[in-house]
Amino acid sequence: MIVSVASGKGGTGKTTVAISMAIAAAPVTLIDADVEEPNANILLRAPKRNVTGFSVPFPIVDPLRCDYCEKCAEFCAYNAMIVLKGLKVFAAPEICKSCGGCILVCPKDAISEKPRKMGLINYYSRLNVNLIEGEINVGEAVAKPLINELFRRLPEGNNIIVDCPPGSAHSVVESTRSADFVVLVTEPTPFGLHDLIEALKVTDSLKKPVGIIINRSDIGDNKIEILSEEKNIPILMKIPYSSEIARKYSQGIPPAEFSDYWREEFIKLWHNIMEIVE
Amino acid sequence: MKQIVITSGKGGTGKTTVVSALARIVKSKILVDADVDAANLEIVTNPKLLGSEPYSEGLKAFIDTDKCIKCDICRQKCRFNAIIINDQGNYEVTDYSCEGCKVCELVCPVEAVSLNEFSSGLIKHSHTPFGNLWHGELFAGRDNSGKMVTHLRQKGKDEALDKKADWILIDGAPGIGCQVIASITGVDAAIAVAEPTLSAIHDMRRIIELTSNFKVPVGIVINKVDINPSLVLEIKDWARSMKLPILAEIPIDKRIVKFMIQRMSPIEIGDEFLTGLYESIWNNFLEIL
Repeated sequence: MIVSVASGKGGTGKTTVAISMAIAAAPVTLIDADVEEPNANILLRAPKRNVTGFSVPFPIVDPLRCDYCEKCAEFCAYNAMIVLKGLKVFAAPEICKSCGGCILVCPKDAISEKPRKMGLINYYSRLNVNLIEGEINVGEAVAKPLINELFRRLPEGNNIIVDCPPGSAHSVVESTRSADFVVLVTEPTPFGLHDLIEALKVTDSLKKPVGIIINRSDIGDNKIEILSEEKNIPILMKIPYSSEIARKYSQGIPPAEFSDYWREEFIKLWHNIMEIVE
Repeated sequence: MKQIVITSGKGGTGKTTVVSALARIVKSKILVDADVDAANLEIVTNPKLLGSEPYSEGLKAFIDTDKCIKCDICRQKCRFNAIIINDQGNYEVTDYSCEGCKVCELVCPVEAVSLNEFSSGLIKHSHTPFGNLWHGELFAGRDNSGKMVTHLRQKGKDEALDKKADWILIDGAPGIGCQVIASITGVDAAIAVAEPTLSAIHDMRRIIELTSNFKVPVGIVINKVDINPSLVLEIKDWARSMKLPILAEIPIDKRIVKFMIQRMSPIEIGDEFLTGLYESIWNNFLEIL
């Protein structure tokens, strides 16, 4: 079973929920797909077991073959090929999407590819939670290839939990498309509601079963509950605001680790999701 | 005219709260919401829509099944795995994965592939009591390449120049990828909103590495200081070592959430101390500029 934890709005508690659920469901594999700002291991506090570099194919132009015909630059949909007539032709690393088009259009066979490192895949393990974390280098703009790579590395047969990036854009599609169930973590404010509605558009278009967790459930209004009734989406859990949870979170300790009560609640949550999926 | 971005790395640290307060403090400005897939500034600025227009930022491939001979070449050449064989056995492009690179069109031997403009969202222009607002709405699931942010910022800049506004305040998105890079490129300075949690500190360091790469001066606001006072000290030590100014330290105050829920900023609470704190963000910031 694959369960993705997403949210729309940032900072609602995705990672807290994902880690707590992983501890409750262990043994389990946890994927940190928020590759721009991966935080799962701040809450798992696990030693790094392994690390591998992640590269994308990147075009290299042979100056001896290139005759500056500009066909590559004309073709490139991202304006990533830069032609300095008579001097140099090169691709801009952060703009190139590695589509391979320039190689196909070059009449002189002057373009080949070599790997360009753009991030890391880190492996951690603790409490029977195996964490696979993607981390793009600072300055890299395009996270998608690394998110996709994480999903190619899923172990067979394990239960898998995915900590998704915030928002409702394409990276959320990539990190929820293979899920059997999506947990949406929100907060009872107009901001949480607005962004939840956006995230639901993604899960609706992917036809994924979803459930809602309301974090800091007592700080705001009841509009999330009204939405869940209207749309017939179950509210799986409510986590009231607690300065203890906030303080422990700040030190990197998730509720399921310091509180027996919350560990039990997350075990129930996991079983509940398994029942819904079956 | 100067452009200022409010950023954080981690989501939920209080970017929009800070912008909503600054919107009431700073005179003569244009507002830009650069978080187009979770645009929240409109919630706390009481906007009246002046106009909106569809926004398209690229092309998507389309396969004409009548012409397609199912040779499979496009599917093999597509690096984004965007071409699938559907339940009817026909070749189809999945909108979500297509990057509009045109390779499929190039390799198709029977010209069955065409590329069409693809609408990715709306660009909105609104009047608010605090200055006009440029905000976007990226349709759910669309690629956030940063181009929409760049477009919004250009619109904001044109209006600011036209109206001789002194400032453009940009509410940034979480993360460090395309849309964040697009919100930082070419700004005069940045305000990073941090909170004293290990996650937020980790993310703040990454975003400040990014602003440093762009040579953008940055000041730090420490929000929700009561969560963990010893981590507040850690942020301050780190900021000192990086020679970055702390603009303000803001406590948790339940009234702030209460007012934000009613679509008001912390300034409307009318608490002199709290208002003074938000004013000090701006006054200290003016010094570093």
